[in-house]
Amino acid sequence: MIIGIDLGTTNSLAAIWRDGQPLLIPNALGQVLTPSAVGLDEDGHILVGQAAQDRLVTHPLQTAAHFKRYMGSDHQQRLGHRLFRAEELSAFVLKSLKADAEAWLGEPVREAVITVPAYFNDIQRKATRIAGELAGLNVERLVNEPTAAAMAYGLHQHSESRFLVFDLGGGTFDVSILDLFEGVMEVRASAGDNLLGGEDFTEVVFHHLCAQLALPAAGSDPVLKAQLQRLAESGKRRLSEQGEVDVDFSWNGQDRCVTLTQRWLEEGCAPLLARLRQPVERALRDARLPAHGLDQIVLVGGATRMPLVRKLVTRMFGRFPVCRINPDEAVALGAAVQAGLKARDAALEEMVLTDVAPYSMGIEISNRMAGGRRERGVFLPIIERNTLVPVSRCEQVQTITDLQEQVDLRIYQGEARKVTDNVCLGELNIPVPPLPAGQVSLEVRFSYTVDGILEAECLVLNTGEIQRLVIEKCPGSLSPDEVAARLAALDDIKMHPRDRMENTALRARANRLYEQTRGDLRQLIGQQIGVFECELETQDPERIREARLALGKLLDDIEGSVW
Amino acid sequence: MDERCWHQLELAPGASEREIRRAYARLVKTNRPDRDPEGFQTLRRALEQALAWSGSGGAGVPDEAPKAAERGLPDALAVRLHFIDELATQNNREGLQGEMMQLLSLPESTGGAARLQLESGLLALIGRHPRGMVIWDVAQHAFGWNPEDPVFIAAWPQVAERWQVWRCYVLAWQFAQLGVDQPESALPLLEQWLGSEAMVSLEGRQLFAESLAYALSQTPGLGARTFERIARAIGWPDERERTAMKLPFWHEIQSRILETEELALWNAILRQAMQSPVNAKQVLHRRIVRATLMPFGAMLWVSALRPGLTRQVRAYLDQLELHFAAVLGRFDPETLRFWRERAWQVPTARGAWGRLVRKWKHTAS
Repeated sequence: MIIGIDLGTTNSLAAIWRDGQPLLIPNALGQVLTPSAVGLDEDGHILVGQAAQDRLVTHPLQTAAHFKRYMGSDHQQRLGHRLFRAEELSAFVLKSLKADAEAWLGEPVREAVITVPAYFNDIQRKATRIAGELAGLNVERLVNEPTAAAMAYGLHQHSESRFLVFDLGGGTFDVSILDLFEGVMEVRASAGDNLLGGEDFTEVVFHHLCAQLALPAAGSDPVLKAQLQRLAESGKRRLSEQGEVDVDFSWNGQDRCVTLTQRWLEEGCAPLLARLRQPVERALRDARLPAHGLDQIVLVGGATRMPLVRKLVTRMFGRFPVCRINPDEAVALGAAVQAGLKARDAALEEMVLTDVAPYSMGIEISNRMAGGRRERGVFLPIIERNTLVPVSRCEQVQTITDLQEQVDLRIYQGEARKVTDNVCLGELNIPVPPLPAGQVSLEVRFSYTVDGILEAECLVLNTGEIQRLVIEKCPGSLSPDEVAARLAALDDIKMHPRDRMENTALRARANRLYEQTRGDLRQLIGQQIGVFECELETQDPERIREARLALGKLLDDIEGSVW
Repeated sequence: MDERCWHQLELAPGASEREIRRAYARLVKTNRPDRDPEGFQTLRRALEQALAWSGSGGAGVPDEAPKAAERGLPDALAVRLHFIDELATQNNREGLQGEMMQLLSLPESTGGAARLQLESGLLALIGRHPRGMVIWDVAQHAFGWNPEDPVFIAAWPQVAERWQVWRCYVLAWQFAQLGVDQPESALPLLEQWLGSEAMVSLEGRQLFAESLAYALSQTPGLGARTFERIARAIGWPDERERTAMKLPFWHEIQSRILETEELALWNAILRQAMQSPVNAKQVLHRRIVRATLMPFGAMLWVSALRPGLTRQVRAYLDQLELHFAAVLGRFDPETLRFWRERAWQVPTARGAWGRLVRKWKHTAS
C-alpha cells in the first residue's frame, strides 16, 4: 500500500487512495492534522504531534518545530543533549504518520509519496527523500504541493480549464498554473518563495507583542519566547474571524493586554504581502498568460485563511478565489491521488499528470569580453526553468586556455546570472586532450526525470569520450554512508508508545495551560492534573478514559473562554 | 517542417488546434511521462510542432466560439448614448457636464435592467471614445462607479478592462516621456503609481506594463540606465530572460536604447576631443572597448571626425582601427551587414568602413 504524505512546516497529514477516492488517515488522537513538532518526553522517548506542540511552551529546550525550513541545510537543532538535523526530525514525523496509517489500515506501509514545495531546490528534495528513508519509507515519488492540490481539485472535473494554485503554507509559498484538458493535467509554470509563509505573519505579530509589552525581544528566555509565540499565533488566528482581538498576557505578576486589529495587521504585514505578488507575476509570464486567461484561482494552505491574504488575491485577480476543499487538506488528498496513480489504480487510468522543472539548471562558463578579458563564473542554463519534464537538452562549450588538460564542469541550479548566487549541485572533472584554447569542444547533455533526478553527461567531441554524473551527492546533503550511520543512530531512540499518545497529549496540553494561566484557574488545572495522574496509575482503561474525557472537557471550556 | 508529427499524432496534416490537443490527450495516456519518458518526449515534440504549424496560419484555425454580437440597446437609451458621444466630442463647451448629467439621469420609474444597460453602454463608450475621460467623470458621479472597487470590477469585468486599457495607455505614455526627460522625478512617481490601489489588480498591471513597454519603445532618447531603473521598479525580467521573448517589445526597446547610447557616446567623444585632446584617448578607450557591439558604430563616427582631431588622437585611432579590423572577422555576417548599412547612411563614415575592411583583409592575409 502506498500512502500519500503532506509533510508541512506546521502540520502534516497522511492519506490513501481507496475505492476510487482519496481518504485522510486519522492519527492516534483521531485528528487528521498532526502538528509537525517533535520533542522528548521524560523517558527520553520521541513525542510527535499535538503533545509535542503543547510542550513547546512548557519544555522549549526539549522540543522542536518548523524544522522544514532547515531542510537540506547543515543547521542542527538540539533536543535534550542530542543534535538533530531537519531530515531526522522530519523522519520522526513521518514515522509517526506511518504508524498511524499502519494502525488504521491494519497492514504494514512501506511506500509513500511525499509532497514538497514546488520551489524546493534539488538539495531540499534530496533531504526530503532521506527523511523518508530514515523513517523506513520507500519514497516512490516527490510531488509538488500545488500540483498535488490541483489534482485534488481536478480529479472529478472533466471539462477544460486552466487554473492558478496559490499555495501559502506555514513556511513556504508556491504558485502553479495548470491546464486541464481531457484528463491531462499539465503544469504550465511554477514559481514561489521558500521562506515565506504563515509563520512569517505570526512573527510580525510576535515582534509587535514584544514591543508593546516592552519585553526585550524575548530572545533570552525560551519559555517566555514560546509563550509569546503561542499568543501571537492564536491572536493571528482569531484575527481571521474578528476585526479586532485582545491578547492578554501576564508576566512577573502584571496583567497586560494588547489589542490587535485587522487594519494594523495589514499595515504590519505589507512587506510580506508585497512578496506574494512577484511569484504570481513570474508564473504568469513564464506561462505566457494574461491574468484574465485563468478560469479559476484556487487557494491552498492554512495561511490563505487570513482575510488579508484573501483580500489581496481577490484584488489582484479581480475575482473571488475558489476554496472548495479544506485548504489544510487539499495537498494531502492530492498526494493520495498521486499514490493511486503510482499504484496504477484502474480508476485513474484516464488521468495523466505532466510537471515542470521549477528551476533552471546549467553549468558555469567564462565569457569572452571585448579586449581579450574574461568574465568568470557566468551561469549558462541548459534546462530553462518551467520546461516540461522529463526533458533532455544539450549545449556545446569550448576550452578557454591553451593546452588545458582538464575541464571542471560545475553544475548549478538557479536563476542568477552569476553562479555564486545559484545552488551548486555537483562537479564533473573531464580529462581533455591538450590543444590550443577553443579547439576542444564538449557537448554537455542534461536529462531531468519526473522524479527530479538530474543526470549530466559530457561528451568530448575530439575524443568521443563520455562521462556521466547522476547528481546525488552534493554539499549540504547526506551521503548513503552517512544515511546508514544516522539510521543506525536513530535505531536506539524510541518513539513514545502510540497507545499512550492520547493521555500524553492531554497532559501536555494541561501543563501548557497551567503555565499560561494564573490564580484560581491555575490551581484548578493543577488539581485536575493531579486527579488525572492518579487515575492513570490505576491502569484501568475504563477509568482512564472517563478521567481523560472530563479533563479534556475542562480544558476545552477554559481555552474556549480565555483564549 | 517535420511532417512526421502528424503521423505520430495519428492525424491528417493540417488538423485544427483542438484536434491536435485531443489526439495528444488520448495518446499521452499510453505514453505516460513517468512510465515511458522517451515515448512521451517524442509525442510532446510532435505536439509542439503540430501546434506551431496550426498556429502559424495553416489550414487549422482554432475553432473559437463566435464572438457574441453586441446587444442592441432600446431606442431611448441608444439615443441618449449617441448624444453623450456627441457632447463629449465638443471640446470645452460651457455647461457640457450639466447637459450630460441630464442625459444620464433616468426617470424614477426606470427598471433596473435598463439602468444596467445604460451603464454598460456608457462604459463601452468610454473605452473607445477619445475623450472618454470627460464622460467618465460625469458618469462616475451619476452612478457612483469606482474602478478600484472589486465589486465594480466583478460586476463589469469587460468594461473595467476596457477602462483600464484606456487609462493605462494614457498613463504609460506620460510616464515614458517623463521617464526619459526627467528620470529623477519620474521614478518616484512611477513607484507611487505601481503601489497604488489601481495597480493591485494583476490584469491592470500587466496592461500597464505592456503599454509602458510599447510607449518606451517609441520614445526617442531612452537610455539603458533609465530603462534598467524602470524595469526594476515594474519587475520586468532580468537581462538574461528578456531575450526569450518574455518582455513585450523588447527588440524595439533594445534598438531604441542602442540608438540613444550611440548618440550619447558620440556626443561624449566629441566633447572630450574638443576640450582636451589628451583625455580623449582614455575616453575613447574606455567607452569603445567596453562595449561589444558598439565599437563599430563608434569607430565609424569617430573616423568620420578624423580631420577635426589632434594628431595624438588620430594616432590612437589608427591603433583602434587595427584592433577592430582584427576582430571584424569574428562577427557573424548578420552583424557586419547591420554596421555596413549604418556606415552607408553617414557619408563621412563610408570611407571609414572601407578603411576598416581593407585593414582587416590585410591582417587576415
